[in-house]
Amino acid sequence: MKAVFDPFESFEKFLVIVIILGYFVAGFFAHKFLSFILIKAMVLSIFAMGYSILFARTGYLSFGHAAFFAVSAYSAGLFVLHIKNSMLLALVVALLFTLVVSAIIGFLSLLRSKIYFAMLTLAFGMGIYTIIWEWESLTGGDDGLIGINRSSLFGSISLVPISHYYFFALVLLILTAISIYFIVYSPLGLILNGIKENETRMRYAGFSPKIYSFLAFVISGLFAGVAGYIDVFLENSASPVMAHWSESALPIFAVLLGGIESFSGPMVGALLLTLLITFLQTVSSEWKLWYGLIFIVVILGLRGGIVGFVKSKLKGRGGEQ
Amino acid sequence: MNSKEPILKVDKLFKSFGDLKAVNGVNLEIYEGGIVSIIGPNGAGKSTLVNILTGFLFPDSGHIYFYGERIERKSIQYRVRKGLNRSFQINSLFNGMTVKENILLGLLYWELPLGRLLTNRLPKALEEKVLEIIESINMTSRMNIEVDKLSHGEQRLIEITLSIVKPPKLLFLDEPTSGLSPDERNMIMDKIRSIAETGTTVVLIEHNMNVVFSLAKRIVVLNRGSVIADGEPSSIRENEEVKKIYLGEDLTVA
Repeated sequence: MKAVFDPFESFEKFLVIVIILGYFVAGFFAHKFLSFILIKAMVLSIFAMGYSILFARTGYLSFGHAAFFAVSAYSAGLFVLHIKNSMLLALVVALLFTLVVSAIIGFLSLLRSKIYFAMLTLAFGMGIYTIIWEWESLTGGDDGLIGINRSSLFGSISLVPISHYYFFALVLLILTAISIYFIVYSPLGLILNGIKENETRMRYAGFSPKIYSFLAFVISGLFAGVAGYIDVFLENSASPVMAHWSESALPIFAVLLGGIESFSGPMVGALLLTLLITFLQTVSSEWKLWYGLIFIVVILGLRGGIVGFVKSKLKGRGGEQ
Repeated sequence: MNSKEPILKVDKLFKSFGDLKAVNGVNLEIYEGGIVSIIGPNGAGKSTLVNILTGFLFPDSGHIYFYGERIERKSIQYRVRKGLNRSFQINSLFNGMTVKENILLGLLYWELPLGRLLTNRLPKALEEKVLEIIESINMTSRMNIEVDKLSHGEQRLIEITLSIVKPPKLLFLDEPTSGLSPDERNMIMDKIRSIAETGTTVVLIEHNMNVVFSLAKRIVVLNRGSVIADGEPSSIRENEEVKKIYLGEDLTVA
């Protein structure tokens, strides 16, 4: 957990660049189904990278971030369906709504200690889920919103073909990776790490940890919003399931699978997790069983996730056990 | 010596845990300068008192004045920003982080402009200050080692250093020599002397009577949550009640 002086910083950067290059190259060759899956992986990457700021860096486990994903998806969807068919404006509106909702829920969830935090985010998240489910006249209830079609950017770049949308999603992924990089390897990243490691000591160092935890919460909420925005235009629909707490488990698993203490972990984990779920779904009707088993093996057997495992191998015998 | 206003004034402080009256009506005044020691047998309420004075716990009743301002309901960080800090008996560092990162975290609040929160590179002056502090505790060659891999004494040194990277006006040191070897203890004692010399008023909570009598100019004795004696080391040595509490422990050796 070396935020500012990670000796593996360049290795982490290298991994992220390799994955992004991989996405880029694949964008020219992938057929529709693979493009769809890879965009799904990018959505989860953005979700997980943002989530890691709160979860991996600051040490707060939230079960409510799927709600921000959904708030963004619904506000983008409603905006293009009812107000103006502009994807760019929809992004701004979606992020504004996500910002407001995550700020309110973040503030309330952080009022009590860490133990209550997870439960509060679960409760607020499920509250959003219920609102989406019940407010049928606006959200379409359990049918959700349909017909949320892609249009063009700046009137000229059409995002309608999935091969175009693919690169739009990739640009957002790159912007996310750059933002997360600047946060993780900055004094802010170190402060968040300090909160995770020893919140009391942070107070004795003069800090108000709650302010920074709140900041981490809203940042991670915003990236959940970016992910929800991309997803709604990929699926052309929004559904209340998006807000369900079980969806919040996806970024958690992506972060744990990739490596909770690494910068590239969430991106590695999200890609592998998406491919894994797709694979399991095609080969087995009991895919959730296999998924659960793999989850357990990773948590128990691969403590630093896949990236952590590779790092410890690179460190050689001098590394920690 | 007592003609000046105290920098810290404790007024009828009470704190109970269930039936246990951990702090039972403590009155105390701390004046600027020097080293004051709070001693007392196990369970006398020393740690609870420090925890209350530094904001880790809130009292059930009573007042704490720091430079005349009532602070008993203020947060830890509020008190720290006013110049009141502490070290912990059980090292409380940023484990898993390096020596350098620990010192840096201790300095960030004071030295980093908010606008530089997201900079990839630290301001040069801050970087230099971090290195200077590491140098002052002779850890330059080990600054990139995680603190939990250091010896107990070295961790204690960092523990104390973290509480003074921004020199406080009043510093509570909670059992700073406990669990240390004689060499390490001497090193920490030198450190405490040098802290006091730089103008920080030190309140030393200590078990080891040798340490207490060689450092403190004033000793406050706590028993069962109350102050039972308060005065110069020589008078404390002769105090009958104190002798009774420390029966079997020779107060005259020091």
